[in-house]
Amino acid sequence: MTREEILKGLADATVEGDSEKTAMFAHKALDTGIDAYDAIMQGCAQGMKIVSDKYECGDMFVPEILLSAEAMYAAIDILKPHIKAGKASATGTVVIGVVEGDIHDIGKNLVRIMLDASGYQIVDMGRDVPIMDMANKAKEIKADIVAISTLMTTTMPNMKKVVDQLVALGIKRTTKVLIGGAPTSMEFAKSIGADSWCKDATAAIGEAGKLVVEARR
Amino acid sequence: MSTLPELSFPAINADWHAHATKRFAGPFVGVNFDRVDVDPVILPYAAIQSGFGLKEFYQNPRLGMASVCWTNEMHDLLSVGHWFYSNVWMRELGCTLKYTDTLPPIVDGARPIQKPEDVDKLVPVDVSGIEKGPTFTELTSGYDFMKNGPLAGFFVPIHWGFCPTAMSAEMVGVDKFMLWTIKQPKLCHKIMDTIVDTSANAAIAIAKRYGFAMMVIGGVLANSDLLSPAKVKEYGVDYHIKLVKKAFKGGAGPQLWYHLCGNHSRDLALWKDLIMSPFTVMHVGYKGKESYPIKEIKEMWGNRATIMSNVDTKLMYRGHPKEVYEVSKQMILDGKDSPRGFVHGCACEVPAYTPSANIYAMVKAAREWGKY
Amino acid sequence: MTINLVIKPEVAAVLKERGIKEDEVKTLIDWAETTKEKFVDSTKNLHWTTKAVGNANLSAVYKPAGTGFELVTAYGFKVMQKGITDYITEDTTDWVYARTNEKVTRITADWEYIGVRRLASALGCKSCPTAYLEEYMATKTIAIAQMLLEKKKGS
Repeated sequence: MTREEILKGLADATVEGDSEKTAMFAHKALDTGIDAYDAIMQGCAQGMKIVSDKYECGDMFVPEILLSAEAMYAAIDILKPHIKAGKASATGTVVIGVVEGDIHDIGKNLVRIMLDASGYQIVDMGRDVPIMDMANKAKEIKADIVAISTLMTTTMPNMKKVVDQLVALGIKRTTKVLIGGAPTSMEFAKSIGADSWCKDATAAIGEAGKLVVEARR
Repeated sequence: MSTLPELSFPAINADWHAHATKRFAGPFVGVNFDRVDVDPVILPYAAIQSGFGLKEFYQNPRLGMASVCWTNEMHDLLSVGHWFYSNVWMRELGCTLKYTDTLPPIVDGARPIQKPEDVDKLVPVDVSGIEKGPTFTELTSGYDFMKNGPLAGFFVPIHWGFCPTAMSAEMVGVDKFMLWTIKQPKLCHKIMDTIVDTSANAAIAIAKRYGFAMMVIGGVLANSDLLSPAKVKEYGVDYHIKLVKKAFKGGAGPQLWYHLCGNHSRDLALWKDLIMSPFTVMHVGYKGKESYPIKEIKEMWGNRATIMSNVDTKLMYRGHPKEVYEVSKQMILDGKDSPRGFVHGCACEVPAYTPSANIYAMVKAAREWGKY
Repeated sequence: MTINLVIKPEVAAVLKERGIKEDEVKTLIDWAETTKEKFVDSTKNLHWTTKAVGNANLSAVYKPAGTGFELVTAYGFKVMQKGITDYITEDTTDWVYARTNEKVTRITADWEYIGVRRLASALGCKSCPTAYLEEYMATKTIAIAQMLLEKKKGS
């Protein structure tokens, strides 16, 4: 198999949500000397990009995305140990979680999958994440982005508290805050001192890219 | 405060209540009373307005119901009280509920279904099991408090069935359930059958105790943001039909409030097959990110059910009274002549910390533009 | 014709409880068999008919027995049908309309009671002149609705 065939195979199998196939192509990639990072970015990530586009236009929905993500992670698990040092964090590092007080994490999980597929190094803090834990983790790993979501209006004030905590820790200039979730908006993001807002998982990729550039400026 | 919190409200004004009752009955008896009724779907907003918190609202149904009734009089809203939350009847099926200051009761800890084999052990809770369970005990403590006290006029026994799809997902974990809809559809259907049978039995238990049981159910997880139209039908619509049929056969109903929460841009037409009773309210949230246009809901459902409007809850929480008033005015003008009646409402429950001026803006619009 | 109708004691008790006379049921079934205004479920060998009688409706479910029929159940309801909406759902049944062999599905029909018109689910087909209210709808859902309508009208 050629390099192109293997990368396309990875992408197609990711879209199909076929974990056996993605694992098989991941092994083939390593066997034929394809750089592991390239296999993820030019194979799996391309597949997830197609998935993202299909979701955007209503051809795929959450169950199908989760199936594709499962297939993607089957390949990533094989490829990741072979990634050369420094490459994974080149795109950006993100601490992600659902804000303290809220447990709705479907949206957060989709954003994590999309960012993972786009090459970001992700630390997923889960849901109902204490404000201090979110901020401290960002400081600990020198995160480019803290991504926080909520579905509830009652927990929107906690998003501001995360921003305030990053300021208190003195890392707000180099750690940008991306927020999302049904009751939020760009206007709200600005009002609490967050740096950007994304309407959905697909939009998160673009916003994250801009924020990493700003964080490293 | 020495008195019990649920007793900390003065008596409801009888004249107001009598007037509001006529207004509330209007859409269901084909009479256009003085004006369009307003139902922002008041839940913990009532507790916050009354000086209590979310946790108290949900932990103490008597307080919850009393605060809703009081808030209804305060804002000139419905003549009936209600109190409910989404993860109802879940404890009876092995879930643990946690009460917090920011959310309605949530399913906490390990889910009853960890692996596919666990599904085989699932058994629906029968009527007697429901009657002995914690949810029914709490609910009836609140209902009896309303029915037998000064709030009797507000009392309607409600069976809150929530979204069978979402409840089923809570049994497993939402992500896992979503994946299983593709990988293990048989297991998903077994879980959903269990949830629906349990929920129907709960409706029957309520009807058995109080003579009838208004059913409040809706497609929350079964919506166009999360599931394909085919899956909305398979895991949403079909189970709503099954639930209502079984509950009606056991004496529940006749009132039905269908609350199609979230975005239904791709699937609304599929819900046309729902069971209808003479007292059906159809309430649709969003079309994409926007409130579902009332004109379209009226066209699809207006001749079949009382329709309810849907001010965006984000606008209620963050908007200005003028914006809420203008949006309300348009919705009322679009919906007030709906053939089977119209109620002005929010797209989902009004957020707990909504400025009260925004509720007033809804009512003011109804008074000024919703006159009959 | 005068049909031979068997009514077992337990069914007779139900009729008594519902205030339905056996002769009324006989007349109804006689009419259904003469006109073929009935639904038939051949999988269960059941027949079902309904007819407005004065200010109310009478429905009966019965099955062939010997040279006549055996009554399965009978019930009445006061809401009067005012039309069938054009809504034919995908919720199909095993019933067919005897006059046309058309498949019966769940429909939404328009009903009137004490001057109030509301919609409720029933069974029917495009060529059926009458919507059939199932027993649970008639004796439970609609019966309670009738009571609530009386109360609401009086409020």
